[in-house]
Amino acid sequence: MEDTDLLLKIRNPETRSYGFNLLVRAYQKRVYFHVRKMLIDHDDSNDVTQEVFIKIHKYIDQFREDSQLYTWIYRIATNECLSFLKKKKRRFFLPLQDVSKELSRKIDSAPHLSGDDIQKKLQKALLILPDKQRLVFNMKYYDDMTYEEMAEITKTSVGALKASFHHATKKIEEFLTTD
Amino acid sequence: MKRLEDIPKKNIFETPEGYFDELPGIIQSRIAEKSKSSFPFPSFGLVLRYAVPLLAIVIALFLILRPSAPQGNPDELLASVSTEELTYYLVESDFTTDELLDLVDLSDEDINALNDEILYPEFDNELLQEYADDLLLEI
Repeated sequence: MEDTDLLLKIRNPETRSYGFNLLVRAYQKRVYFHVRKMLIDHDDSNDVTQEVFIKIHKYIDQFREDSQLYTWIYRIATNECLSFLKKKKRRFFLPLQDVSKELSRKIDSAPHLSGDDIQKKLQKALLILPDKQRLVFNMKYYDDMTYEEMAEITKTSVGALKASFHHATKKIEEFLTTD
Repeated sequence: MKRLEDIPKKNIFETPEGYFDELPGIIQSRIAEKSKSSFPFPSFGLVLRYAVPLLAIVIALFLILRPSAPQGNPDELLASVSTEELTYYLVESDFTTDELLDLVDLSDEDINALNDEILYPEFDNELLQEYADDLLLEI
């Protein structure tokens, strides 16, 4: 179903609940894996994914279709991820390095993780990046987004995103070589 | 250097079985719960945002604008004012002697004493003598 049809159903009070259910089904995997790549842990990702859809439900009437629905949804998911990580660091008074170490340990021990050693090593390499740079890398490398789409989601210029992705790739390759 | 393109692109994250079948229902029930629990009264956040500052302004205005009431009872306050200050105040004020006497609750004894003083003043003999001497010198 097209996004415009979904929105029509959601905006009609009689079909609102049904329309929203369709929206969740259409976007749940993309949102969950976008969140999961940032938070690594399934339980945290599950909580944040639910919060993202609750927020979408709350603000869907304010969505003016200036942008595509999925970039709007990605923006909400991205903000929720970043604020979750910020809260986590604040709550436990953890420096950035310690949060990365904790997430890195989860890559080795957490359930619901597959992949061979090199895949896991790549995930650990990603954890050395600052949160926003990691986000940019995930959107470009894993989700195959265009820089224009990423610019709309992150409200950052295309040039800055290109530079960020380039630096991220360099750091990751250095990590994979030396570590 | 190890190149990123040498690593096959793969999503290593998995979910518990049936997770995506259950998630829409969980989200719907959480939304239903939230809309049930939303109260028609203003939220605590709104109360904090508007009512508390308003109350603080009202209290501040009351404290600033209220008439400055003297503290303590009138007798104690009067006792704390010196006789000189009282006399000065009465002399400077527009009160006539009669008005002042009307205000004072005099006892019979006080009235007799005042009458004696006015009608039969006690002269100092030495002063009288001096006064008489001065008169004689002038003559």
